[in-house]
Amino acid sequence: MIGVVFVGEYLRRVKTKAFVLTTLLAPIAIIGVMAGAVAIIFFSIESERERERTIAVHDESGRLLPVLLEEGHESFTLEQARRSVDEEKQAVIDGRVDGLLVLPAELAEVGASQEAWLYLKEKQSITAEQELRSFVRRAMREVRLERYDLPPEVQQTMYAGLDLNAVALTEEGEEEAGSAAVPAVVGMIVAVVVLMIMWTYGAIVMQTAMEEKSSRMAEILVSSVRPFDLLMGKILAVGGMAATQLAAWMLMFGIVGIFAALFMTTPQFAELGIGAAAGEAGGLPSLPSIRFDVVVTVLLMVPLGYLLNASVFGAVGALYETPQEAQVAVTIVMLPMILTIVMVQTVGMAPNSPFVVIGSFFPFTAPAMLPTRMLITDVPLWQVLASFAICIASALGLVWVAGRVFRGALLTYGKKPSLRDIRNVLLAD
Amino acid sequence: MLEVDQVTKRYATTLAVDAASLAAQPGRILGLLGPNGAGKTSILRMVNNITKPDSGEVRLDGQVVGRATQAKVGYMPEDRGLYKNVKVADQLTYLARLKGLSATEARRGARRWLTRLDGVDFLQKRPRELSRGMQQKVQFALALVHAPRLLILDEPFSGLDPINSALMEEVIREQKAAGTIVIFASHRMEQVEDLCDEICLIAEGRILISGDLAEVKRGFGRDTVSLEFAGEGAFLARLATAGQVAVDKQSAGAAELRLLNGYTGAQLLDEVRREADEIYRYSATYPSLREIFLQAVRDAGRSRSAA
Repeated sequence: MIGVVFVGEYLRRVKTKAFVLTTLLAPIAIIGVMAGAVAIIFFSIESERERERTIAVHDESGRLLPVLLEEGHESFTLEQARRSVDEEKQAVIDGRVDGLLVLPAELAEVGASQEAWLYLKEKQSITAEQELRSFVRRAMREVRLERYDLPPEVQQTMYAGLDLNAVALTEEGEEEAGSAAVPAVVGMIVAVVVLMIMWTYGAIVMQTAMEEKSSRMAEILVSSVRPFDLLMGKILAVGGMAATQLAAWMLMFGIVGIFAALFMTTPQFAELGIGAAAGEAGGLPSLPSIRFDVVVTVLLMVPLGYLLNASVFGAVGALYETPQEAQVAVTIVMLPMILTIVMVQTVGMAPNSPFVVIGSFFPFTAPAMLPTRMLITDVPLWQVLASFAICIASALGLVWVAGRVFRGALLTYGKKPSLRDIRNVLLAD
Repeated sequence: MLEVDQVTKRYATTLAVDAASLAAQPGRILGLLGPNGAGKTSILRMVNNITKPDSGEVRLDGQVVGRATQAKVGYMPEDRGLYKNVKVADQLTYLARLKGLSATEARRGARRWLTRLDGVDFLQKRPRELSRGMQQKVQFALALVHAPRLLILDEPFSGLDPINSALMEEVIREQKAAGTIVIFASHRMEQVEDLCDEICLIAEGRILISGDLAEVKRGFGRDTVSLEFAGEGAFLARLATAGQVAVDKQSAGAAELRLLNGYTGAQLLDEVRREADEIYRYSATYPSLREIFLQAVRDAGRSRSAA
């Protein structure tokens, strides 16, 4: 009977216009939103850069400005302030200059105050402040050190930067280049995607159970099929729908990717000069190579996590008739997921902290936490296996519990279930 | 034959069904009557194997109900619905398949029954495009599509217009003639009286009266008088005060009475002749099902408070 429920529910979901439309349009929407966000950031930075900005400098010592002018700033034009500070401030307000930099005489003296003032019209972007701070600081150091007549080698040494190359050592004695930053970001993306899948499709299970309860289909259904079979068939059908949708999306992205790759190798594309730019961009941190152990973990954990969440969501759907009534229960169900989002951000910093390790065992957080942890640190095999064992055991347990709630609650109408009702439903036979 | 044998069902704190026994025969229609919360739905759910009795047994053709018997039962519950956005043909097919039909049989059955119920053009529609009466026909078809051995109809006529009621009644009689066991649960006494061969009266989880409808009525005696007359009806109140009759129903120029304390029909007729300007009808009948029902429920309440 699970089979009949599965086929019926699956076709009912997949054959709707809504399903076809979301499957076709969601990638376009996602790409659109991402492209839009990137474009907004890019253009706002560009417009800020391209605008010629003049900063008047009131240099009381007379020693700093020459150094600043000699250095030159890439996005600001500096000029000597010719009027009093108050007049210059008025000029800023009137928009005749973009800013006023006041450098007190002490700034050039060793051991004196290190305060300087930057006046901008109203509140400006933080970038101007940041860019000017380090720029002026360099000049201040140089001027203050002038009287010690340091040899250029010393000066060079002082200003030398540091390239810290992080190398991860594995137990096999291999050295892997690269910092934890890239895996941490990738890990976060993986966690969010896993969560989204569990969340979205789990909620659909709740919605379909609720629909059958509120539309009074439930009694007809359970007079033909065991409630457990109904719940399982439903969970599997929505899972099948999820798999269909995700496969369609991957296929679409794959096709787009192939075309993009073909296009980028054409001579016309090279002529556009973008290819060269792309080549220059080689300085970007390279993506870590695909980790098959993580891919396998994700592929196994996503269905498990979905099963866990869908059972709980299914039970909630059977308890309540409308989403409004179910709100409190849904919030409780979502707590572990919110917890996951919080935890996932600490994985990069402390992949072996007790908080994170427990998170990769706890069944509701493990599906997202385990792969993320695996990306950042070497998780011992026993931990991976233990995590899977806990998830499988909890999924089986929860499906059983959800089946009982489903059976007991599906035909109870007219009042919001109390905790006592839920307990009765669980204990009834 | 469907047998409900000494069945008891308890929910958390309430005793929903208390050692109830009843039987329904093939080719007969059993009317299940009872006030709200009497335990009708509880019994029907156990017959459908949706819930299990705490004690006792339900058997269909000698087989204890379970997964195997579910496929032989057609159920139109009182709380019934349809998937709002799914084509009627698709949902009928799906639900018939849950009753064990193959996809082809299910589709054929759906078409055949909707044709019989004058609704073949509903097949490609979605319930939200159908009126309530039309949806009800679809739900009726749902109970019939797998040719059940036992057909259970809970308030099947509620909200249906007379034409469709008549059509549905005709189909129910056909099912009876074909040897199906039919259970008909309702509050509508006239319909039960009209359709049923046997009745079973439930209140507070217990079966108060059950048996052949005509026999049950005979058991209550021929002391019910139906009157139609012209003139003032005040004399009836006087007779009632004197304890000679009980007035069950009264309107201008019509009344339904029961004779009490040895007061005879002849005496009543004399009284009417004296008081009324004209007599259109005088008939002594068996009590109506409604009267039997009310009296049985009252008696049950009285005996319980006495105990």
